[in-house]
Amino acid sequence: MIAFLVRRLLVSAVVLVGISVLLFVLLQLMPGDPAEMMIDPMSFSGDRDAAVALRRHELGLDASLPVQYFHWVAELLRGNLGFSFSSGQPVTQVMAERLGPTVSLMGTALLISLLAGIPMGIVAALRRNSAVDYGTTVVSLLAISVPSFFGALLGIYVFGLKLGWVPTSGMNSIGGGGFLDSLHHLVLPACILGFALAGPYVRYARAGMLEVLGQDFLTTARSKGLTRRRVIGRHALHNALIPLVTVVAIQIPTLFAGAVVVEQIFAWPGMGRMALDAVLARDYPILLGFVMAVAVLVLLCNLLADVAYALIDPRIRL
Amino acid sequence: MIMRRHTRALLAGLAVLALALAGCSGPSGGDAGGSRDATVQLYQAPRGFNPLLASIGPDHLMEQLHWDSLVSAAGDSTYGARLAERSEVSADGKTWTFHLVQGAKWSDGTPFTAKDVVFTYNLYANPKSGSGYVGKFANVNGAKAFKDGTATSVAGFQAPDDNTFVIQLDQPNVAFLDELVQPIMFILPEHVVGKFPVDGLTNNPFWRNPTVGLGPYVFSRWVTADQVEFKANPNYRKKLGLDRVFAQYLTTDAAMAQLQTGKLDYAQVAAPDAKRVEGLKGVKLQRAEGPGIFALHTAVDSGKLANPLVRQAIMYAIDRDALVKQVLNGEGKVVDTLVHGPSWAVPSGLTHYGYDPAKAKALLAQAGWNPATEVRIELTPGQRDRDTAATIIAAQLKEAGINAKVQNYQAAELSQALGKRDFDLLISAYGQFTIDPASMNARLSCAAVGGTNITAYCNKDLDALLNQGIATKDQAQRQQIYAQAQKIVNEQMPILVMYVPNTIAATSDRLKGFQLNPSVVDAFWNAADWSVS
Repeated sequence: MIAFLVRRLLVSAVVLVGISVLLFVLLQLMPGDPAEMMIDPMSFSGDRDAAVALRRHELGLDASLPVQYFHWVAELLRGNLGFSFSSGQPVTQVMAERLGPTVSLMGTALLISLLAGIPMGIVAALRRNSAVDYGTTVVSLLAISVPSFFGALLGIYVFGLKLGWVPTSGMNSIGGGGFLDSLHHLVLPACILGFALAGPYVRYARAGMLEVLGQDFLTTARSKGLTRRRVIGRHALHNALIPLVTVVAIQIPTLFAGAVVVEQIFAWPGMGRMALDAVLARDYPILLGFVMAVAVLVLLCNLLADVAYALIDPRIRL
Repeated sequence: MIMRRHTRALLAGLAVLALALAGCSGPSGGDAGGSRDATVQLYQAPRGFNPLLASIGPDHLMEQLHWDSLVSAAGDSTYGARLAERSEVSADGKTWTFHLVQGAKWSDGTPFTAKDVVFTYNLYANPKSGSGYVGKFANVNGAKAFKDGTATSVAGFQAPDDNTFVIQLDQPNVAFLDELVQPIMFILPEHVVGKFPVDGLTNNPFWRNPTVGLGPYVFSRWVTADQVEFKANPNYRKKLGLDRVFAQYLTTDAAMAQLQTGKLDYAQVAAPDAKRVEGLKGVKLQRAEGPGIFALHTAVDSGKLANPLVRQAIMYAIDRDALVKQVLNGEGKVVDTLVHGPSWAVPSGLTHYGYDPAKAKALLAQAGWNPATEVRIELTPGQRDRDTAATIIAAQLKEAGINAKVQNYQAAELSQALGKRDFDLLISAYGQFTIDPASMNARLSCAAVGGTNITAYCNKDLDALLNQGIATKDQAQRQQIYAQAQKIVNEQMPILVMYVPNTIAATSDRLKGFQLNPSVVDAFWNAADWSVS
């Protein structure tokens, strides 16, 4: 296990270096120049070329690409991700400010999707071809196929504007608020994001359960005279859920993608919204920081999935 | 059993994590929507409070709360007195004198004096400070020596006493105030900013978290990255009606929803939303003819549309009345020159470019236009009115025999295209063209080429008139001069003016004292008069 972990961590480090190099090159290929953008041509009065050159120099953009890259890596090793081009804040600070809102949104959404998706999938499998199964299938297909922006707008219209149950946007009431206020603001975006995510879980849980239900060891369990409850709860469920661990880990990047859209619509001050603004403003340091953070998270989730897999399935040896 | 224990532990863990995070995500603060608080919309993400940067965006709005200026554009499209109670220009148009208010103090209690103004204007004239407005002060006595490094400050910025600020110009400019209001030249505290090195000033963390202000509501904290809290300035020179103002970045859709639920006190309204907002309970809609223009810009120096006949043809080929109706729901009007106010500056007898495709074709034939030449209509997508307008314009130009196509650019690409002088018909809406006709100098004078004159149009005759216009104090003479200038602009169409969109704002019924400024970027100009009921 230890050897496996060390090997995987080393591979992850190489992957991260590869991603960072690729990102650096891709960012340069992106049309548009951050310095040009900061010196707004519509309002700038004076020698614009000189001002753009000065800004490029201040931002370190006049150095060659390899120099910029090694400078960035050197700073990274010191724990400094650079400074945002548009606000001048340290990237670590910008990301730290946004991390809380994003994790609370994504964490709650993940929780909702698991709590809703897995039981629904299991019930659907146990009552195969019944009205419950068809109903669940329809709901899960809706969750997969309805884009989250549409779900979000519909949710705002119905629950925020028509029924007035939840706030239409923001993370808290103006000027802050208590725990309940935050929770009140969290309900709708987390449910929308969680709903979208629950779709695949329903499908996988249902398929996994159906596969297990047909296997010999369950027949053995039943023939031993175990109760249905014990057969399903102990023998079937355990085995059906193993593949889901991987699915959950793979879904984490999807969760990020969904968060970008949902955060934008709900004016949620998280990392998704930050990333979108950074793309539009060509804020390279923020983008680099964001993508690297996502990359680390994805690699970590995959690693955790493998470890968890080995822990819960004794047949797998790492 | 093991699995069940695992699952339970996992679920319990996740639940605790989510709740804990939800709990810590909300910053602790006072009551939500307290009785003397107001919330206003910012239409883009705010960055900070650095007025030196060339940008008229949400920061400019926040700066109206936090900083103050000598003059600003008032709600009735005149120059409004702020820190300068009075301002006057000498008979030769070369000396501007500003009489400052007595007894004004910074939010930390330090007296505000003319020295602060001299200090700030020197920063504006200094390219090393990151100032985007050096060009505005090129005509100030001693600005060149300062820029070249042969002088340590601009000789033409003077403070004869604590309450008087004087600007000495090399060439007369009776419309100099125009340079100071768009964007507003905010004043900075010398006792704080003066301690920072000028090199790299742009990156100073002070701009993100300024500790001292001069406006009615000074920066207090970033509630979130998208929301800023302002507190009433205890040293402001008049009694204020609010305790706190919250400025929140909200997209149009989010802002409309917040208005509906009564969570927002001010929002900018897009023309297509006006009718809907008008019907909302507890919301008041205010509208005024905007001072800016919606126009097409071409790099005249690139040669493609350098022939005025072609530009005239484009004007005739576009049904601008229909654009106002379809794109703006009638919330705007068609004009035929850049400067559309004050009334004395708009002469009668200007050519009206009504929709006339046949005339457009004839003009194109006369100009020897090659129908194969591709003409891009460039815009940053995402704003409904612009997106629709671009599509309609492209279709109508095609009908007239111009091979037009819509080219979407992101903002960063657009800035680059402008820098490279590579654009055919770039859509942009901006400006404050109703206070003084000299406002066209920034967009059309030869001196502004390479800067705010993005089309690089340079016409010797027009330039002579524009220079005369700012050198002449007599109103009747100015009227004559600008009548000629407007005629040239109207005929040559260096900037192809489509229409003037209305400025529309929605305010909650509880917000009192809000006075609509026709200029969207000056929306918070009278924040000191705001209160809530």
